[in-house]
Amino acid sequence: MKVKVHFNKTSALASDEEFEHLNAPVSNAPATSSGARTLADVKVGAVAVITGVEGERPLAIRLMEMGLLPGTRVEVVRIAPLGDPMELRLRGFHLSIRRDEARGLAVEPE
Amino acid sequence: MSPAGRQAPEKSGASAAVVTAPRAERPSVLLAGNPNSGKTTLFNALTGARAKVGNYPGITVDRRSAKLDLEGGLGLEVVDLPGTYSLSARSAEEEVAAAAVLGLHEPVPAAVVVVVDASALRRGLYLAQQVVETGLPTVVALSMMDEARSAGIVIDAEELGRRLGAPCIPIVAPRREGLDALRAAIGDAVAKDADLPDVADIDLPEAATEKLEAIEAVVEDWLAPETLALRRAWARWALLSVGGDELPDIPEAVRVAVDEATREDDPGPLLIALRYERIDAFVDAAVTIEEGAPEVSITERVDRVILHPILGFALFAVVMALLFQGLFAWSDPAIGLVEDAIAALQNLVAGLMPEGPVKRLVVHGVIAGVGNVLVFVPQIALLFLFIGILEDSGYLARVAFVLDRLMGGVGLHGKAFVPMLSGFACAIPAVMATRTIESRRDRILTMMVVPLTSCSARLPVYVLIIAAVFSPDQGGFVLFAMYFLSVIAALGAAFVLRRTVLKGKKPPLVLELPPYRMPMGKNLALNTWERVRSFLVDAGTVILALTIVVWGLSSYPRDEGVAAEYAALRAEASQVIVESGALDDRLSELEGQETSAQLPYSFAATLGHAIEPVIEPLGFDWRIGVGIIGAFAAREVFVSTVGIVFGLAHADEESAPLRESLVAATWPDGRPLFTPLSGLSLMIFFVLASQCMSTLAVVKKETGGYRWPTFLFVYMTVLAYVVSFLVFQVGTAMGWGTG
Repeated sequence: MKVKVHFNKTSALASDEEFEHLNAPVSNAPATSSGARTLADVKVGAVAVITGVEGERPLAIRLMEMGLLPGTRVEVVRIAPLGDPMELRLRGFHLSIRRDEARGLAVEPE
Repeated sequence: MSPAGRQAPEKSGASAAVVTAPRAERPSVLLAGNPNSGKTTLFNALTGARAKVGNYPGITVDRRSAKLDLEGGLGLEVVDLPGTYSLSARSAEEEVAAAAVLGLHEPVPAAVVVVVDASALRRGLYLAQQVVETGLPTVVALSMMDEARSAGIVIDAEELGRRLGAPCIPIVAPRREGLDALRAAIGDAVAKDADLPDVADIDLPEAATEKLEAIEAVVEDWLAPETLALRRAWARWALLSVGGDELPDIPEAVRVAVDEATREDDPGPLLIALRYERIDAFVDAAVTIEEGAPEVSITERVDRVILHPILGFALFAVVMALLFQGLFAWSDPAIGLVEDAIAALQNLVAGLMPEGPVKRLVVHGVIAGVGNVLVFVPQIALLFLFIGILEDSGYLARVAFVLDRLMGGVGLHGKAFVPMLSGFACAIPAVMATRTIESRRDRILTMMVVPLTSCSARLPVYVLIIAAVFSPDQGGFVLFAMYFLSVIAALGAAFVLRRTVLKGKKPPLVLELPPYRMPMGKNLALNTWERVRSFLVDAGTVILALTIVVWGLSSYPRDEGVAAEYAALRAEASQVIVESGALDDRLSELEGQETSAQLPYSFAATLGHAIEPVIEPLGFDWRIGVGIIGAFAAREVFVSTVGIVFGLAHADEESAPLRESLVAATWPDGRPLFTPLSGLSLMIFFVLASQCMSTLAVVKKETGGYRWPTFLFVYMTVLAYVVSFLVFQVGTAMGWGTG
């Protein structure tokens, strides 16, 4: 099963007024495929805010359950000596993911 | 917890029932928590570390449980669940925690304790929130409060508990701080009289609620959960777990329902977002960060060195060199002690028992078999002590971080490095060490290639053959070539298996880099002991049985004429030689000669002759065949078995007479048996062939079936045969090293 998830602020389910605060003022197309920046492009030491999560559903859900959600501030702490994976700081803890996985996370600068 | 508490008079009625109640009827309390949350430390502190280690049904995940007697007479069983960040699961291993909490294979627990690292509150509360949603009585243990305090994090635990809907108890488990309060809260939770306001459930949009209700309807048909909250929790679990998963036993109806609910406007991400929104609100209300908290944590300072591109690798090399040196050299005295003790026991028992088949079975079968098991214990204990230190300190996660790219090149997980390196000492502890790898496919892949690393038991075989057929100045290079071949073979096998038998998407790396912490001696000792015990009980029995079988094959049937001849020689020696030391020497010499004289009549010799046509194209005759059969007990046994075949019992790899016998050995037509080419072919066979039944026994234990050990045996043996065949045949055709 190759279900893809595009979760950003424009999720149709969150369109009621009550849940609108989950929507952020960003583009409505899946950001990663429109050439916007992803977490993989963020420089070491920089902080970015996640605007969308895209990818195969099990991975997207795993990343979101680890706290990588739209609206989350993420700092890129360092890149491993061999160039991959990357170390992130979010929600008060340190997480390592590969660039491949980071490419599914659309970001904007803080 | 105290026995006095159970006898408290005012509780006499209840306590009598508890004391006499069978263990199985103790209400169970689950200990859930993130990896590195201090869950195991709390388990040990609560239960006095008298854990019973079993297995979850149908899966090789340890189920650790222990009794907990509360003041007031309540007797509970505490189960230490595998560490997890979420109840959601994609594989059978990950499903263990959810199955236990939601009651899939056993009844739902009486209460769940969620251990939340107070210094990483938000992440830990995600799991706590999921558990609270089940409606089961829940207690949150806020662990590592000392670390949180020194980071300037101040938590209003009561406020947090009120909002979450579960009492939050601050603890520092190693110092036993807060344990009384935690025990009291567990008691209240089990008795269902926790004093907390009802907390409203997460408020989902109507469209999402409808989708979840559709899943709830099929969950009802599947499991008929006892409460509405449990049914809802199952539906949410299915929503976030099913689809692109490897979960066993999910009914087709549930898969269809989840697929329909997620095809458009998947409510899953929204559910996660709402949970985190709620958690953020809890934390905003209950947590304050003190002024003047250190801006850069100790962990960050340490990581600047440990993950430094140059210093980090240098340090890594030192740590791994220490680990390897320890496994190779420091375990040696202990292994020597085990071997000496077994030999002494054999002598002692041999002196006490009358000659005969029973004595031979006991001395050379059973006691030798016990020795074959115990001889692994020093290395297993050392390796797990090292791994415990690496894991508990937080360094193992950094190893995976630094090496992920390198190991990932051939499809191995970053954490496979330590098992692979350990494999050069011995595959048994190395296979057991693959448990640090979470994904089953990654773990099995590592187990399939670890036995190709050139373990220390192969070394005596190389030494013997190199000394027999190569000149001293070639020896070092040939030895190096064997180790190089084993590295190439292991990495190559990983590369191929990853793309064939263990094909599948590379599992994502979502790895926490926990703060550095001082490992606790008690946890290390307990963990090491549990690994050793599990080896002795599960793999040890198989190794013992197989040792006896191999011994039987090489000792039976016997020729009665030979036996009678040596019985007469022994009797004669006893009469002629008066001095006891000299007599012992003579008897031992006779025993060795008799073993050699009996060997041609044994099953092993028959088998050796039977396989000769098969191994002849590799350059091996039946005598080498017997050695290879003997090597199944342990590779280094090849040396002593070949010694016996050539009439030199008790020979070791440095033995000059054995070397000379090998050099002089010929085929019936007079061609020399051992040439540089056939020696090379034999060593290559030893590098690649799966000849160690102990490895197979451990792989069977760790994978939970015969499938993977069978596959391992077949692929390695075929690989060894093909490569040795090619080397010998091409070499012969080209006229290399045949004379």
